[in-house]
Amino acid sequence: MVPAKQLIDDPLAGEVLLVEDEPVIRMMLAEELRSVGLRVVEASNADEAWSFLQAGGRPDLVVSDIAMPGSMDGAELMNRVMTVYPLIKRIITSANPGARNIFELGVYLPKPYRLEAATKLALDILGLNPA
Amino acid sequence: MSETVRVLLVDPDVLVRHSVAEYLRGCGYSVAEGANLEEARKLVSGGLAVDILFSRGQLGFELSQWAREAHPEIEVVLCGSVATVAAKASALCEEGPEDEPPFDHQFLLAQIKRLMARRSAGG
Repeated sequence: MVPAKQLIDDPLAGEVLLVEDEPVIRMMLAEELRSVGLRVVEASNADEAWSFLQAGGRPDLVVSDIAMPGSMDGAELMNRVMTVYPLIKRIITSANPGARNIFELGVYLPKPYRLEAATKLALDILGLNPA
Repeated sequence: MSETVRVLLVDPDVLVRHSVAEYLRGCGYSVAEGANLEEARKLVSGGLAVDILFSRGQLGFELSQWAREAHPEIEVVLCGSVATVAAKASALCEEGPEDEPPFDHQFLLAQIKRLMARRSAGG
């Protein structure tokens, strides 16, 4: 199997908006995503992520936790992304998805996740992994 | 840059934080991002090694106070405004960007101003 870190030659292959309120998890996943050549925008909550999108940011993929402080949670963010920016792909992560139909919000990545697995999922969704 | 310098960039505005962080990464720095004092504390207590703490405004003063008390080994770069953030980021990049980032310092400053103006206008 080809290691994920060797897959992307083009540094502009894809941009990920990573939304996570736990800074250590966010930093670790962001570094893993960058290590395979993806560009990463780090948002500390859904409000920040929405501000970035409203300011003209157009990531190829949003990866968001659900439970976060602020005026909206990750589920509301994903609902807005689906409605306003339907071309942006979505991964939703949570340890406690609750009663929501989480699969409607995006591809579900249960927490805790391995960084390599999360990165591979991002590459798959972006179509950057070989068949 | 023989040994990678580790910067912790703390800014409450995702647009400013991201732009400056990408610029500094392009200059060869290892950059961790935090949105506030609490996130900075969590990152450092979580084991993040930091050489330079980079922040601005009132948050910057609070971070500086915390760093001097809890982590005096960390050098603090404080900025008063978005404009000085861009200028001091440029000053940190003494040898210029290594990886041909998509903007130079002047472009960065113009981009930040444009985005902030658009946000202020409600656009």
